[in-house]
Amino acid sequence: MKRKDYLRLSGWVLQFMRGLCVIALAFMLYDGIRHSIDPEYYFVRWEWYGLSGDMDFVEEGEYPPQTAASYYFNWIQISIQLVLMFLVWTQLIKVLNSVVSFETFISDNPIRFRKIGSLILGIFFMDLFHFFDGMASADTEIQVGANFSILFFALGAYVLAIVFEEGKRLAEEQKLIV
Amino acid sequence: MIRVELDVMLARRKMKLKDLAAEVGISVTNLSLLKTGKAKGVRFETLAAICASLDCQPGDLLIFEKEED
Repeated sequence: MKRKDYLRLSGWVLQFMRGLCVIALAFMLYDGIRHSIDPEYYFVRWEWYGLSGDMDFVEEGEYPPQTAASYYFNWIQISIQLVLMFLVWTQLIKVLNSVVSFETFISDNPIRFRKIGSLILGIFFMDLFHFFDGMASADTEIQVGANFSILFFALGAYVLAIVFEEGKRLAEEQKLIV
Repeated sequence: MIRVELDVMLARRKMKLKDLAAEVGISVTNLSLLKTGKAKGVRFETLAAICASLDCQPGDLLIFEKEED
């Protein structure tokens, strides 16, 4: 495989990931509308019919019905994370396009990597707090915990921003050498 | 600081920047950068080509000036 093929393949992977975000967001929108119209939908679906649609009782701990507050909290949290992920993929696609067009150190890649770092930091903060309030009082769960693997990605993006900034500076200096 | 005296040498040789660029094989824009002192550096290769074309020494083109505080 040549360099161009690798870049093209990476481009497809990034587009695919961004597409998945769009599909997930569309599903979230559908789910939110469905829930706002019929809040009992989950109760019926999960409690009595199960995932397969057969007459079945859902097992303990598996998608128990939750209160409206819990549902909307999780809905907003996941939606914001998906939007942030969509923006991360968009920025990565722009970076890849600049590499394809041999403008790696000419374009605004340092700014893009800084944006990616901030977006990932946003995902990290959105992931700090988990709240689930089930219909049964025993189901209520509040968790606070940091997922440091996300933080490392943000750190990586910031380091890349500095590397690309240095590259851009060197490229600009190179332009002034006759 | 280093001052580039390319314009002086061009005047002495009665040569135009465009003609020198064609002879040396670099763009007029780059040569203009050098002439106006905006260039950050000169490759030995370019300097040699300019010297050959203008029949001069590097010292005739580049002059060191002490900066005053």
